[in-house]
Amino acid sequence: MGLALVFRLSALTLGATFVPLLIGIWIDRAFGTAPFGALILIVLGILTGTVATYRTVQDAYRQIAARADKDRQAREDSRGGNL
Amino acid sequence: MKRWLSIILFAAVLLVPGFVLPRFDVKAVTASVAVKPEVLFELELGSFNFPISNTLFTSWIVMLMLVLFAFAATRKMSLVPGGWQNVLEVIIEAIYKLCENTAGAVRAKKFFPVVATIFLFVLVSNWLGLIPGFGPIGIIPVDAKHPAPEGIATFPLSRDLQEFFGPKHADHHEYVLAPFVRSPSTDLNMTIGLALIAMVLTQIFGMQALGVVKYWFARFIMIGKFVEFFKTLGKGKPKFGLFVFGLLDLFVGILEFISEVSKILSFTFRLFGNIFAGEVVLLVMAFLFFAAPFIFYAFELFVGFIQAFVFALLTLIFMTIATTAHGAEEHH
Repeated sequence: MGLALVFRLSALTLGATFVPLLIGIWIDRAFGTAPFGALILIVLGILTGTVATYRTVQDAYRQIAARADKDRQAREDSRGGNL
Repeated sequence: MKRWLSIILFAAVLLVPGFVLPRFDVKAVTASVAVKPEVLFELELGSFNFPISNTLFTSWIVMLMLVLFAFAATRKMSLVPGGWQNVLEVIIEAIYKLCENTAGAVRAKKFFPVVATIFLFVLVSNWLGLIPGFGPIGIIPVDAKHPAPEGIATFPLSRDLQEFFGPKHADHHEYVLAPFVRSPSTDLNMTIGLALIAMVLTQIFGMQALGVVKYWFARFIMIGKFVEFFKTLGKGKPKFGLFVFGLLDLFVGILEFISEVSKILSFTFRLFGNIFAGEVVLLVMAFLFFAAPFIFYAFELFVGFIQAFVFALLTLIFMTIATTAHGAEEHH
């Protein structure tokens, strides 16, 4: 869970930045609009990456919290069984 | 299973640019530090070319983000706030309470818009510079049409990279990177603009509250004691003590004036220095040890908040002082 999250976040940040950048450069090449295509798309990419990172972390946090809840429940159940 | 998928995805994202980017003519350059903001493009207004720097461009993004945030928060207002409205209400309430506690209920209404705007704008621009992608990605304006701007520190490209780029770029021993986006707080033009707005508004509020003549003569041109001295001189019984204190008051007035001007400078360089140095520290730490930036990253989040708070709070305090009559003046 932990390592997967780290790699997923890294991939998200890098991918969200570089893919729009490449598309922007391609648009600039095709239509001769340098540097505006890359400029606008990289801003969109960075903001998208930030929002996606935030959502991913929130999801992961919810999962961790749910698992902790379940663990605590299980512990309490087992303690009750012993008594 | 999910972990392996994530690792493969990470490796793909890391490796694919290595093969794809060169095809798009995207190059890697060594890091450089430039105090002067880099010019991205120029707006042609008749015969005058208005340069658009990356910091100016980013300040537009900051404004856009604040406007969108305000719009999202106030679109569906409800008595029991939720979501964005909740966040905005917490921020606004905290700043308004601060204004009320410092300046009192009446003046708080007047100062609050300025103070809150400064706080939100500076906070967002400070934190925006910490988002990955701000800084390291940009264009290299080295061709004849866009020569490298003067005064920007460049580091020579390492020999390996020169060979990697091939003979086409062999004559370019240095590259200057103009990042697409860069935090507005790392630009002296923005910080001095904000400082001027804050201080000019402080003077205007002071003159509005006390009256133009009273404001100037009670604060900067203190000749009250001289006038009294000449009155006693006219009566034939000159009090020379008043003359000495008059000289002292005159000097204090000059000092007050200098301190008003120096406030602009201290506002400007405090914000610029803290944020610019923070970003340089993050850059240097990244080259020292791969995990070192984490500590400083958290620290820079803290510094970004504190600097925004200090800027807004000092503006508020200066405005409060400017609109408060001197203790001695109140008795007259």
